[in-house]
Amino acid sequence: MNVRNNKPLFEMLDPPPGGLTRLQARIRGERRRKIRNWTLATAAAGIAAIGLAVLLLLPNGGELPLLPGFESDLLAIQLGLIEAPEESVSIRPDLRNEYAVLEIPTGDDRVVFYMVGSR
Amino acid sequence: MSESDLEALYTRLEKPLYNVLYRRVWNRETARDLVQDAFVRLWKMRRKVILETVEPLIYKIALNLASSKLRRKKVLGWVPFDAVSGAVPDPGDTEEALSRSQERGRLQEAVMALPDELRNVILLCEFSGMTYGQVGAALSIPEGTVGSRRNRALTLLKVHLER
Repeated sequence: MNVRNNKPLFEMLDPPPGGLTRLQARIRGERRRKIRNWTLATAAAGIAAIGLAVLLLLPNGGELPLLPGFESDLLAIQLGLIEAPEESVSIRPDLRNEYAVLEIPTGDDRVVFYMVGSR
Repeated sequence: MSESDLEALYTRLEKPLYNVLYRRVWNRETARDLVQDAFVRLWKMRRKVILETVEPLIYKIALNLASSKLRRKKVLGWVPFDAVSGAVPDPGDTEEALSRSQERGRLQEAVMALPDELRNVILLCEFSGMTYGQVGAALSIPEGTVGSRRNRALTLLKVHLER
């Protein structure tokens, strides 16, 4: 196509060298990224599955042990962040003929033991 | 589309695609990067690619990428055009080099003054070697429109260059 003097309107420029090599490197990079993403996704799914299985296999229908909570409550009580529970132990009225509860004092006012036994 | 298909396509289309993109962004590095980006994009969608119609598709991808790039740079208020006189080193004597450089500068101005839809048509018709039908497919316009837009673009360029 010519506009003036039968010369081509646009001259054809040569692209910078090494384009194909660069493209091949980028495609290799894409492949690696895809494999890495896939591996990460699989690992995450695996960890999630293991976590779920652990929760389901726990005793008491999947309830978590109370120990960690107990420890943190005790620590919080010791630090004065929360108050120690004040309620005492009592036997349900319908079971009072069968069981008895005895309060055992300790040297610490904040700690009380109860002994529960059958009559 | 296999990797060897992609490489063969790249070898065949790198130069015309680069020339089209250079006349969109007027920066050699950006044009080179856009060519690469377009082929990487094509590679990512290789499962959907039909080899018989891949040529208009790669031009379409490339032009869309160029438009996005230009839009982003417009928003940022900065477009790094190559210096017109230094775009391509000229062999031969200084007077001829200067004349060629001025001519290039005027051509660049003329191409930049074209509306987008005419510019894309003239660039694809000039460099891609595709039929009007393929150019139409690349730009999502009817084949007949390609011819009329090309004529309109040529007229505008001629007017601009003869000023």
